[in-house]
Amino acid sequence: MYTKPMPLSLSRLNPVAECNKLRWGLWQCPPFLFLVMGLVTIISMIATYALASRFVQEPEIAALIVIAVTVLFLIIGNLVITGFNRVAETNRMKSEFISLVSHQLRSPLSIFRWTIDVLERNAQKISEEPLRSSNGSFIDTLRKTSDNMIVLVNSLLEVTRIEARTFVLREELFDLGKMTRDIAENYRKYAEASKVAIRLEVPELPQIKADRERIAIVIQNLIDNAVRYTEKAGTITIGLEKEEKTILWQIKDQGIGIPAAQQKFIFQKFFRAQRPNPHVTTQTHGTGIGLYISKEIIESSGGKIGFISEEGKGTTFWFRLPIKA
Amino acid sequence: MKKILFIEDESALQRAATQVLTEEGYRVYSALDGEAGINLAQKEIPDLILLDLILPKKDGFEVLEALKVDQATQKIPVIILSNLEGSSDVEKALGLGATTYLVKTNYRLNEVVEKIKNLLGN
Repeated sequence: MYTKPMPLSLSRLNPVAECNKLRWGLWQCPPFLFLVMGLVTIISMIATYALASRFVQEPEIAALIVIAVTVLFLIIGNLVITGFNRVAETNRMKSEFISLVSHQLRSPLSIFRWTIDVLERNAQKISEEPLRSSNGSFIDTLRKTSDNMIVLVNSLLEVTRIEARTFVLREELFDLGKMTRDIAENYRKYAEASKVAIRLEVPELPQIKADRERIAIVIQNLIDNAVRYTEKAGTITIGLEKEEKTILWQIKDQGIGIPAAQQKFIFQKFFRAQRPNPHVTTQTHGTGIGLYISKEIIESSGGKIGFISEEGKGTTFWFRLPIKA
Repeated sequence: MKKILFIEDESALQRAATQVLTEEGYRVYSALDGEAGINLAQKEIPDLILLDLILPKKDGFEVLEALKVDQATQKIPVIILSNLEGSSDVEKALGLGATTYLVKTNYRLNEVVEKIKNLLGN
């Protein structure tokens, strides 16, 4: 593969600036670590020479110094390798993500293309009444598909914002209970199609101050996951309650649960929990960014998010947001 | 009337293809997952199968394998219609006995119909 050589710029001579540009911690950043290693080599050589010539009668001291320096090199070398591994791993995840996203974007594009083909054919035979009346549902398909595609592209942009640290919340007062009811209502039809019932337990609650649109995204993600990971029929229960100066929001499903070994990766970017049956390919459903974005939103709003899950029994996701006056 | 089985989990694509293929004079059977697809193929013995690869219950590769080991269905031509484009996916599908491999987004419905007409010879 042909890789374009990096242009030589002044910042490359300054490893600290280079590391800042790459948004790496100094002790994880190879350019900086190489500089440290070089300095350590020079200092230790001079020190070894000075000490060895002073303690010429006691060679074991010189030997000890050499061993100590070697250990130091090993540690720094290890840090360098860890840094490179991280780069390689990020790179791999990015390519996987790009191929996943391209595939995800292709699905709605296929729907657009084929549906437009049908509408075009129908337009040519405009005199036939049954064809004209079927147009409505094809247009409906186009509308729904474009809505889904907008959601997908928006969440990709959200990831970019989080990574570039340009993620800014726009706070306003709103009723979390009402928002939950509205979103759940929108999901009801979709859930019923998968034989999933949605139950709501929403009491009267004080308003909260947060980024309304972003919190809505979190709620959509959590409901969407609960429906998607319920394999057979089941009920999803969404409950809200006030706990001291916070509101606790919970969603409990009777789905397949998250295997214990995968639980620690759940909020990681690009991670998608596997189904117990590998043949049930959900690989292209879900991008593995919903929970990553949700965690970022809740935590930047001063809240917390988490889950409890048991394989085969179901999962409860919750988040807690402060009630700000 | 020639019979075509379309195994595809995206119902919007099912509807679009069914309307057009029916207008073109085919009898169309739809299956929304791999398992239903195999069952329908064995029951109806269609003249042609359009097969997606990423499917619930059984994926397209498994469907293809099942069709090719069953004497009743092994001679039915199978057109893969998928949005996967990795060379390993294409090779695997053709290796398992698929007749052609079409990348869904790259084909308009009319072009798919042309391919089908060529294969079924009318």
